[in-house]
Amino acid sequence: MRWLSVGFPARRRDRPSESQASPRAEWYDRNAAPQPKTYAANNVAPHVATQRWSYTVPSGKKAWLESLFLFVIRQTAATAAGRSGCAITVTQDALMVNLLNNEFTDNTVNHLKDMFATNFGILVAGNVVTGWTFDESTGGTMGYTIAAKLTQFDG
Amino acid sequence: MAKIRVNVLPPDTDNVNYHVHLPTYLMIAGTEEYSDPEKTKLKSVIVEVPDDECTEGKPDKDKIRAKYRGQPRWDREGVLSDV
Repeated sequence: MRWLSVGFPARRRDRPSESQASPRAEWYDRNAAPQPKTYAANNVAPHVATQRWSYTVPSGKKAWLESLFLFVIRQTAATAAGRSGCAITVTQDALMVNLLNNEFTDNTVNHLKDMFATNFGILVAGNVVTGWTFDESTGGTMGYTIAAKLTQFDG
Repeated sequence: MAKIRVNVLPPDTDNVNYHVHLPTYLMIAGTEEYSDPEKTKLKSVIVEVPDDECTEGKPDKDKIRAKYRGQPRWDREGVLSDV
């Protein structure tokens, strides 16, 4: 549109090199820092629920919870198989919400189950994300992976 | 990330199960120490803790209080007393 620049001031929309002023940078430009969490273990004996990792959003920050992955596999047969698996929760004050829960009671060696989910949204300061494992069986062992990808940024 | 051995707290009256009383941590698989021969009672474990919460490789209560300022669970007297 070269002719517009001759004799006439171009309108704002005709000047692609200029952008409108933004009052605030996008979240990914506010000191964004990845906060990956992964717990992976093999041949784990039965146990009550255990918090394998935890992430608390610091004051003045927020975090984008981008993806979660859960994997569980029976590695040796149990005498009596119970509920076993892994989970990821988020806690606000005393209220805990289960985001993803991956469990089974199958006693077949090498039986496995996995789950994957994305885009859980924004966490605010004080929110806690936790990865859990549990196995109510008698005997036998399991393998687990609990992973989350978060990006923390200035709130 | 600093790697340190810490106590694991057993289930308590708040129904929080085996956990480490730190705001952000990651257990390293295979480093568990148990208090019973059946390996059902987790006693301690090596965890990774963010560097900005540590001084000379150990959790620093002043840094944690500052980083989580205003959060009742972490910005208080006695924080880290059970780690």
